[in-house]
Amino acid sequence: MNTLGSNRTGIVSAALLLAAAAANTASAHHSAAPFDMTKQITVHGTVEKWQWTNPHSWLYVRVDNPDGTQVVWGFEAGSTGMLARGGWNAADMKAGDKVTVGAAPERSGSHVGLLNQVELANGRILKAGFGAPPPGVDGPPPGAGAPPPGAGAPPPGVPTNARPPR
Amino acid sequence: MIKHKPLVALALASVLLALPAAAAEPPGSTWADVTRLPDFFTGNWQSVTSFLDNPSDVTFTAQAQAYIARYKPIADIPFAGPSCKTPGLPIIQRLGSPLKFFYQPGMIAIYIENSSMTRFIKLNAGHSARPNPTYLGESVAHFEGDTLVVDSIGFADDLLFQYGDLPGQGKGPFVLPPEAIFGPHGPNLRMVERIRLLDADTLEDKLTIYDDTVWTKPYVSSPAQIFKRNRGDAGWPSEWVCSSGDVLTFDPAKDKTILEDPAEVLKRLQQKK
Repeated sequence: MNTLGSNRTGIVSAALLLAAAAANTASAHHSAAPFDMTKQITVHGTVEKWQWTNPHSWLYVRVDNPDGTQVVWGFEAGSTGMLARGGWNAADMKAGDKVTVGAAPERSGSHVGLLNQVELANGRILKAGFGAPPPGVDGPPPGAGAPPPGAGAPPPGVPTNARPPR
Repeated sequence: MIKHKPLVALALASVLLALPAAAAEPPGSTWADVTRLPDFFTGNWQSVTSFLDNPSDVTFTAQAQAYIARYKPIADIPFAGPSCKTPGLPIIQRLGSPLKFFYQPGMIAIYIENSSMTRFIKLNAGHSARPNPTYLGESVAHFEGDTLVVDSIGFADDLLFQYGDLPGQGKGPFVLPPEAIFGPHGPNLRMVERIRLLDADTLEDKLTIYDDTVWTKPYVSSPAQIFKRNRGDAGWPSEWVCSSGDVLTFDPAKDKTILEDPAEVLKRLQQKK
């Protein structure tokens, strides 16, 4: 569905991915309960603030609605150390930058999401917005990792692409 | 030349006598030992396991059963509050950001990035007579082969202490706070960890908890915690200060997650600037 200038798409099949993944990924500060990890939204807008902080970094994006109004979205990202390990930097974004954000939406329909990835105006894509998986963890799609080798097989019915913690 | 023979013999005898004593020094006693210990020290270790337990074989004491009968699940953990109050051991070690091990003779330290706390573990030493309560406890350790056995006592009363899972819940690979039972621990709480390398880049931490006010037999934490090694730049520890004043916070007193409008939070942040 479309929401006021943001293109909200309920994607990601992988329902599987996730209660599990969510549990661990968002555990650094609070559990994933506020977010619907089975969905993905895409939001285009202008950076208002990129807050490089712990326990979470936050990206604030102003979005122009078709009716001329504006709305501010807040996207929760990983801790600074974990983002840095994934190649992110505090200087990656600044107010005024145009970005396209992929995120799992907050359940109540607010303008809040759990950050998966950001595409910058120059085309560069910052992935694993919750923090990068450690080496040896299979190459994930944006924002989704895999259990590490040696961690044992997941229980029956559990996906193999569970997201690693940040 | 001949007249020096007794001296040479004496020196040799002294060396030979000293050897058994040196060999008896347990691993972790000298600087040289670090080259012989399992390499816990290169890079850092990132958890890939659920931070809460899903134990399969738990038998509660009558006291714990009475507590559980009245128990109401919590929405989130205290660490999710604005001050990031530590849940203490063992959960603080599992919250996602890596652990970094350091060594000096007689001590291993573990920097827990996800809070900037550091655990100091005495090697080859006993516990103090009256350890003061702390969130990481007082830890002593020794090596059994390549396994570091860490024994911890002296815990603060308000650890986030998990008894088990709620009936019918918490059976997935990752357990959420509302699925777990948390409660007070007893005065003689003791945690024993067995830490070893499964391979060059995988570390296992198996935990057994002793608290006879909660369980009728030792509680085997499950699953065993697994950590993967980060090397190079990713293996460097980072500073961690709880400071963000998030859009989403948890109020432990009200057991409620608080969601603010991002526009209002942004306005506040910009005014502060």
